Amino acid sequence: MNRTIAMRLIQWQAGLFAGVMTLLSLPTIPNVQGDAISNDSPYTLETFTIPESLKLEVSGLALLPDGSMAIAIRKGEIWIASQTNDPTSTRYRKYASGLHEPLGLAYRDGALYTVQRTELTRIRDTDEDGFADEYWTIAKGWGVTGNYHEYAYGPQFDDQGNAWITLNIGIGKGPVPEDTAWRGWSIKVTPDGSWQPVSGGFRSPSGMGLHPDGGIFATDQQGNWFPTCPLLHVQSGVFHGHADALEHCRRPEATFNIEKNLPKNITVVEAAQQIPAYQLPPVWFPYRTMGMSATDVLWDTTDGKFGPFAGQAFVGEFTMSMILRVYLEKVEDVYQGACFRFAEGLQCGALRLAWDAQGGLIIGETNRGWNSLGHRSFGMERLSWAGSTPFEIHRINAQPGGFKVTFTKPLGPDSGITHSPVHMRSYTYHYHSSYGSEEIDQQTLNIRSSLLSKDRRVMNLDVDGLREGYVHEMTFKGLRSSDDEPLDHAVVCYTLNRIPRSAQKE
Amino acid sequence: MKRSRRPNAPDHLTPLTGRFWLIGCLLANHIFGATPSPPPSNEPGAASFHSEVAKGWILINELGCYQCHQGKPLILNELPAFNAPRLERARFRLKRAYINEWLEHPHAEQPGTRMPSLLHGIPAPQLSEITQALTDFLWQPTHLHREQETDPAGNAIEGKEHFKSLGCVACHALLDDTESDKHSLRHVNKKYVTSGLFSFLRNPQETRPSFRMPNFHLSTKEALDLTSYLMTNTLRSQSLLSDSSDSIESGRQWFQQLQCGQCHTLEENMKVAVPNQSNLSECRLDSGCLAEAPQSGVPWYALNPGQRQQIRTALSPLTPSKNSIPTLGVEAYMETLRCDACHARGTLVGPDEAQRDYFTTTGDDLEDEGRFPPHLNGVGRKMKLEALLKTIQGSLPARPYMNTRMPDFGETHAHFLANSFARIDADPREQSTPRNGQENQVGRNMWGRALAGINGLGCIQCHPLNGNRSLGIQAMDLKHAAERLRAPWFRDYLLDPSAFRPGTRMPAFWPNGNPSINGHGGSAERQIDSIWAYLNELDQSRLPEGMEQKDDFKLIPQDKPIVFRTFMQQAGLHAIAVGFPESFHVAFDAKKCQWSLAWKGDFLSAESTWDDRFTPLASPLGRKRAWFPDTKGVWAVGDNNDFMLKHQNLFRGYQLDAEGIPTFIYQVGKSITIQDRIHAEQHGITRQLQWPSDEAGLELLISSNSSYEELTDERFRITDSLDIEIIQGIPEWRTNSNQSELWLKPVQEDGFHRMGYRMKEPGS
Repeated sequence: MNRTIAMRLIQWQAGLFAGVMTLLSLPTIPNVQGDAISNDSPYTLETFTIPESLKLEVSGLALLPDGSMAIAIRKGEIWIASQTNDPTSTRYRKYASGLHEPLGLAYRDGALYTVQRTELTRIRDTDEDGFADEYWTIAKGWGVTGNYHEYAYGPQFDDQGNAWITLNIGIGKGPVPEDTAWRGWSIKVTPDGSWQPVSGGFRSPSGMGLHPDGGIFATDQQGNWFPTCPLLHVQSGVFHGHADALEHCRRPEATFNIEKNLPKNITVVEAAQQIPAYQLPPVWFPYRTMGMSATDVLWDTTDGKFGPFAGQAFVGEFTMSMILRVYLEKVEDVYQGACFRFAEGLQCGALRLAWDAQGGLIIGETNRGWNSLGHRSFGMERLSWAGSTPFEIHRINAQPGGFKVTFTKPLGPDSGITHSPVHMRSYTYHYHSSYGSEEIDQQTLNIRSSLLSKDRRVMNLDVDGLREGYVHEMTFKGLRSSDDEPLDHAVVCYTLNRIPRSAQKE
Repeated sequence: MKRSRRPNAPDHLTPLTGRFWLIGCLLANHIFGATPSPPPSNEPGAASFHSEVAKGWILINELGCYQCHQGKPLILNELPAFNAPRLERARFRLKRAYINEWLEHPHAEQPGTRMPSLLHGIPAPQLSEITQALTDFLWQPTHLHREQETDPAGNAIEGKEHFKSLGCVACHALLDDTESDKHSLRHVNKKYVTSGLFSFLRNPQETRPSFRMPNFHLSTKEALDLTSYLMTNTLRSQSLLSDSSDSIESGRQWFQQLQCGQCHTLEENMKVAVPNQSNLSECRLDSGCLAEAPQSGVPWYALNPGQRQQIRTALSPLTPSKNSIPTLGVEAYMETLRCDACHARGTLVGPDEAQRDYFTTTGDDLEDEGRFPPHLNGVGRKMKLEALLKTIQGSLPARPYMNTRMPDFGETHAHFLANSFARIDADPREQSTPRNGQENQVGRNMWGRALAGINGLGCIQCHPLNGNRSLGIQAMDLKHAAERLRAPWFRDYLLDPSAFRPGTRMPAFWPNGNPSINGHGGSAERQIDSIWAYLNELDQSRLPEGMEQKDDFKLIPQDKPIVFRTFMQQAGLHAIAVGFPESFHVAFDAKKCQWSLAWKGDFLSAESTWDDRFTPLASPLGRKRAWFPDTKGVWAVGDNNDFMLKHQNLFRGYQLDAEGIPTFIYQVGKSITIQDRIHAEQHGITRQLQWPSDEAGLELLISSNSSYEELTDERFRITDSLDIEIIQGIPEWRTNSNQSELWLKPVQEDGFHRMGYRMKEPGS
């Protein structure tokens, strides 16, 4: 059964949408039958009740020290929401206005920071009347041609207090076509206000996140040069793939240089071998299987308040209105890992994610300009853990000749693992200027053995024909937990950038 | 004086009707050894064999073999008749010298032409007499009137751009591209007179009714530009041709003897009723026209070995079934028409890498889906037959954002292709839609409307509807769905878009066949049918929610000023507009750090900033006031006007005071931090500036005009809409390039340099 739809039904039954739909029409929805409406769902999805006049197109979220949530919205305002742990009684007040499409929000040292189209701004309420009165320009000067697609995202602060910003490439020309400096690059603003470019080759990197190790990660969008959405590791000197960003390599501050024409008719794996600065993403999100437009990245720092996935990352998905989960590991100093679907059936595309004070996941939503599944064009939802353990693949670790699969619960006795419990195929993508890529060079992998650990929580897959750089997509079949539940999400895509030479420690 | 004479030709070319033709066909025996045996139909080679057979028949059809050979096989009736170019108007359109060269060596002039050489092997002096006579014959006076002369006022540079963007490059090489293996047009300026080329481009099917060159329905300007571009080449005919027309009669005889009239039409019918040739089914397949180097007197088509083999394969008695063009024939036919230069289908892969750059779009964020013509796999199941026919005839454009234009291939090609697609692509497993006769139980217009709107599935986020702009990207107008698509395909496509168009960004709104939102019919089938019903009744329906009424985006300052950052005319991309309740408004350019704009009346509409994905520049709603000179942010120290040029001004931010009025803060020079504040009053605005007194005492240019009138020591009339009144600081008038410049020097007060002035309308 589809658990997330079940979550939705809980709300509907609670009467949130009583005026919109009638329970009479429920039986006509396939896939939702009697047992779906169970109360032991491990996660609860709630929808925020928003004042009629407030078009809460969420573009930034920042938890404030008093537990309230600052919310940037696309029309250029910041609102403060209190009591977010009870979405039907949350209160909202306007804090700031007049901003130019802020696409991020962060709180640091008594101030809010947002990236507008043309600058990084610090916003404070100096007279403490509840409304911001100081809009201080911390950094500006990146190119703005006026093209609509030149979104600027951030900031994401790192542990040293640097503010990271990602800049879209333009699509088409703007009114000032020559002012393109650093479009398609990430930049880092140091606490003294100076800034420098970090990495280049982004297309539309709409979300960033801070890894507990201190590294900055960003997603990007399927499109030209990006065969599908990736999770990228933002580091100095790295080229992520989009060729439009290469025009800035000749600037003295550039952190890498690619002078020659890019090779043609190659895969992304070959690109990583042939183009010096090009770095494969730690995770590819295969198109449709793992969404169509990845957005925000948020590591689970709730210490278990959000369930058994502490240390893993959650990623927003826009077009398909869902939340993905990512488990990253480092093999020979290279990040790589697995992605899973986590929660589906949101009311609208998810652009922003944040933890609230109680460890609930606040999901900020808007789909203006780009459609998404669901029945709302903006809003906010809260996903919280109800306390029971979901039956999921907790993580997957690469091994020299296969994968180690760890489950959240022990497998039951009739887990069907006597036969092949998993179908595995691997594939990669074209690296080219065309829009997206199909999955190419596909192979079905032979699983030689699948041994279960004594505690029945770990399955070691011994696999023939692993290929470095390729996505390894696994579909698990027939597994049931010791309490006889089926896997909530049986498909996982592991991007195998490095095959470890020796068994991995976790 | 006219002279009539017999053609002076070698003996074997004396005009004894048909005699020279017969060489090579007289021994009408089949050469079986040269033809391949067909593999059984279930073997891997079967597909390519059938494709070869189809190509052979298409070639026979195109070459017009049956125009001379008796016994046109029935199978050819499936294919549209190919007619050679009509020659009635040749004299108006073509250049005489070119015709001469062309007749002498057609394959040298245009490699790959279907025109056979009929005069090969004839020594030069006789050859040019024959071609001169034929040219004279074609140039004989006619009662047909000449098309209007065109003024060759086209723009060759734009013509080249049209050539690239409209799709000419799909088949033809650019003039300066001598490497390409595409059909070169470097010869056209020696072939055509300007008006002739123009007429041809406007309607190629008039003279070439069944040829490959389609009609792009060019506008006059496009055709003129393309003509100018194509005529820029400097090739000239080498042959010298007298303008005499004294050999018309001789030309007529040659025209008849060479049997040109079997394929070409003239005003008079020149067709020989029963040419004395072997029956097509009895031709020798290794000699005659099909010989590698046909003898003089035998039409020489300059076919390559592969083409000759295709013809042999088709005609071979061992080839089964001569009743129907094999299914693969549609692809062979598409290749003939070069459909595959733009479209993929089956084994045809579509445009190659080098070609792809020519496809462009005006809908930038549609990207590849906006610039590449669609693949045609299953198009016969996708589209209604009527819509297919119209589309192939270029009359149902559905992708206005695509710069490449779907041209008109003419009725005969359209019929063959559309019917072939429909027949081949029909899927017997296709489930029909349950709509017939039970509309109320299946789809409902009102549900469809709700689903299309912003509180439904939001189709209108991306898709325009009946010419109404969508809210976000501008994808295909959904009005085309009802007129173009078959209902079962529409349903199947919506259920799984990527199965039909891999890589499409169209979401699957019914994942695994289940509705992603509730209501509106409930089931996937009812919801989709509801949308179908709505789209079919669009003309009589209300627009969906979100498209029907837009919010009012007008910003109205009421109690406090409105500070609003946006992209703005004059104030630039770093604009910060400030609207005051007093109905005077200003905009600051935070890049140059200067005030750029003042206006009176209504403030701004936020629509371009809040709702239009493409972020056009906002413009003031009220009347603009030319109150701020464009100082480019330049300040001066004393006479040193260059002072500021050395440093870029640096915007630092703004602070709001208790009334909500912003004070802009920016840095000029190395370290001078200026505070700059404007507030509105009933009749104008007041600007006040200050910076620390331990910094330089900068001077500021506050007005520049051709003249001024001094009303008092502190008040000046600059124009009939602007008085400036100094409220703090020392004014000084300077003349610079015939302009009277008003400069203001600060005074020191409370540790600051300070200055201030009012700008107001005269009479207040």
